[in-house]
Amino acid sequence: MSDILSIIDSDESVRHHYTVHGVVPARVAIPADVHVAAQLMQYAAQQGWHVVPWGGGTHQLIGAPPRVVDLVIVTTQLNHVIHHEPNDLTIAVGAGMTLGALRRYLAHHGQMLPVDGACADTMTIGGMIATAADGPRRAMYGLLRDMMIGIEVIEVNGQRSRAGGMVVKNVSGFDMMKLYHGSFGTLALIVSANFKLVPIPPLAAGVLALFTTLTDVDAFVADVMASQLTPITCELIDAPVLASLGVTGVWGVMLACEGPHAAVDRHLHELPKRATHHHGTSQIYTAHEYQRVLQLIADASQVATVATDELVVRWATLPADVVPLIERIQQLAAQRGDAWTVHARASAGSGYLRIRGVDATAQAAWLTALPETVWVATHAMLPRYWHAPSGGADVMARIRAEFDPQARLNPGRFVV
Amino acid sequence: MLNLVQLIPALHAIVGHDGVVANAADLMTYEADGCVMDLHAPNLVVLPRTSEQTAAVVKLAVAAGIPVVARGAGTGLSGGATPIHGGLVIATTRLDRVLDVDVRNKRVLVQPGMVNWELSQYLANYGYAFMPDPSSQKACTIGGNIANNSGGPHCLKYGMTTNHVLALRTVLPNGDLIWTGNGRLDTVGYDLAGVMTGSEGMFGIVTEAWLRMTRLPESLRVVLALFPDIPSASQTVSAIVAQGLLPAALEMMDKLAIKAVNGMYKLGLPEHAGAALLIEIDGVDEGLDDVLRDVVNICHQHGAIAVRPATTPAEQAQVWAARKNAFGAMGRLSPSYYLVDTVVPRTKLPAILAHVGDVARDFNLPIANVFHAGDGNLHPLILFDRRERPQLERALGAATEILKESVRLGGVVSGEHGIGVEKRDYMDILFSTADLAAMAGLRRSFDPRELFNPGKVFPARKGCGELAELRQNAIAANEIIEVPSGTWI
Repeated sequence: MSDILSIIDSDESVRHHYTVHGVVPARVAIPADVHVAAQLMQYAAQQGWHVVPWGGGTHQLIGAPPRVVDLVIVTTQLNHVIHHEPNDLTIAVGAGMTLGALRRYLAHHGQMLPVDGACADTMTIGGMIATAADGPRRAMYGLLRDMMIGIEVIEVNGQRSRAGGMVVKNVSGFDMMKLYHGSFGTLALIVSANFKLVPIPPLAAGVLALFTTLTDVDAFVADVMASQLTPITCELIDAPVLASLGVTGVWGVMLACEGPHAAVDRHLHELPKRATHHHGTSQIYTAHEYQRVLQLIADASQVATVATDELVVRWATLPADVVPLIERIQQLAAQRGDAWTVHARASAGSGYLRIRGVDATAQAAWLTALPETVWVATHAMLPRYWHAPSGGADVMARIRAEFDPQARLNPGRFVV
Repeated sequence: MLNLVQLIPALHAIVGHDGVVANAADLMTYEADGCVMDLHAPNLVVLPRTSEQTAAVVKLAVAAGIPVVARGAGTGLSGGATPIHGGLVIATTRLDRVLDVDVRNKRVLVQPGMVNWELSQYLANYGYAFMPDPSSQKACTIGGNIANNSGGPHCLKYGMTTNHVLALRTVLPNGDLIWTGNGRLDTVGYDLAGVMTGSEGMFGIVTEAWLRMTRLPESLRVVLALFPDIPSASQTVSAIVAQGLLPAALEMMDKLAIKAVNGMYKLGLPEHAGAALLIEIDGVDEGLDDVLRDVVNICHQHGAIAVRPATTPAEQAQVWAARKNAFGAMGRLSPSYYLVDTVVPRTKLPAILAHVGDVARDFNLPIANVFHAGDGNLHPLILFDRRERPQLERALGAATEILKESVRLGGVVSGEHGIGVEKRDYMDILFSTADLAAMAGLRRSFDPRELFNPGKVFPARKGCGELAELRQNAIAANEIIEVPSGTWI
């Protein structure tokens, strides 16, 4: 036990570094391995401490501030590839590995985990799982939810448990991976996860189609979605995001294509033609420029750095309602005089809204006006941070009570 | 079970007189699914037509403390629909309609009794498909697919049922009727649709589902490659996967299976071939021939004795029919077969298939192999005569040997058929007590009284209730469960 006590740090500067949504933790610990992490969780349980798991810290502003934080457990030392058999196209990684580090590791083997997200070099795999983080390529590959084949967690009493396996198809037991994915650190500490991988395709490129009206954007996206083309992204971006790419325009749709040369060429040929049909213009990105632009678009939804007068909203609707929602946001912002920028994964019906210059009252009004909100990230003190689940709130509460009966994990932060 | 008889008038009031089956002879239909190892008739069967009727039936049953088992077409192979503790079976036979097709949002709203094949035929009119395609797709239902997180050949590229479920309307074990969402991809709170899919009817009974529609590919190519033996075909599978060619399907049949389907489908395959690979690639037309050429080259590099592209839709359909109906063709070789479902890491395919050959020899039973090679998902078919008790016992022993070796090689005990009754006592080979206890905790969150499909998934000798209690006590005491794996079975 003395080993555990020796890694619990109460130094003030360390504690402040790991401030959780404005709440300074009483202690911080960075376990060197899973065994120590399990001991730490059990010790915290015995002390009755309220625990917040911390990966890269890029998503800690999401949801409500925790009621109390006795201990932050930082997973950054759990950052190793645990098992990788390249020819199986599967990998097991520690939860503290960043997406960027994993990408670089896999690139050496000509493989990839085909998801992306903001702050790839800081955001950890565990954090991506806990927050159900998404990225541009969800249009084709989904989220980590869809790539995760196994998981290991440390439960609230220090118990290690696993589910799934290292095979790409598995119905042996319940799908605990789905339970922990998007559970915002309220059920257990995620310490490792297994994924299926895909080989890096022979060619990747992107078409950025530019439009001046949302009506044309809507028609173009519907046209592409109904076609038999297979773009891996369908990112609708507005003028500020376009500006970050160095492009002047009103609305853009970034459609990336990956695969055999001839298939990518077909997309690079046909997508601009379809854009033209809908009164748009196009430009093509290849090689490093394509990768750079895709990461810039992914970074548009970051919540690692949120201004004190800023509200970031992750929203979800049906694909057909994306443009109507943006038009509603336009109207609301115009009425209120708020500055905003919006960004959509148009074929998935999901996206992000950033509003600047808004105080807590205005932010609460935005939350009320947007029932499509999945979560908000803000420094402001709001009367509430979540909309109620659309169904099953009672069973969610029972799940929480079963896994964390004293509500010691991330207390008060999530909807459950 | 006196309570059940007393329920009949109330059930008649909910679903009508023709919606309740109570006659002992009729109930025999429901005493097993495709797994006929453990039989048990229900006390009653109810056939609701709506979500509300289903919820009302569940409320009555759980108030009386009666087990409830959902059943689709009964094609499951793990005993998931077998009411091993009796009680009430809710058959989804009359919940068989498409309620809405939303092409713009690529989603379809269906009832659970809809047959998988009929749904895809229906969606084909719009240029779409529901991608999971189990071999039983001409009979199995969407509800059963959701309960078992079913797979099929095309899961290699398109994912399992869980990747195609957007939202579920479900009757929970307390009788509450909930929607987990409305088909939006992101919801607030825990991913209930995600955990319910594959929960084998133990978390709720699905009464409606928003499913993802997938655009039919513009073009596809099918090729049948014949190999002298299983190792060369397995190495071809590894090479195709490793080169990133990502086929839509990559299926294998061994010598015995070739013999069976040859007789039935007149494919004219050389019966000296040791293995056949069926490879399908799809996507936009451009590039497919390049991929096909690469696939054919890999086959030749690994010693293929013949590579036959199926060029016309009729030829493609014939090749696929042979694969999808291979299990039926086994009737030409043996009066019964035991179909084992297991998965290994793909590089372990040659090792496990060699082991299957050893098991066939050791147990003196022929074993055919028809399986999803690209996923590493094996389906050894142990051929035997059910009427001969010693053969039945040898078949069960052979299956156990294969599953143990599969787990030893890093595999799992089920890839797509589910655990049910059949595999429940294998669960502790794969999982520790703590792993199973966490699953038991999740189950108890949905169903504290264990009335929904009791006796499934968890080992018979230490069931869900005991595991959940063990876990809850450990959490309350801030201790961990200190039981070495396997010792409590």
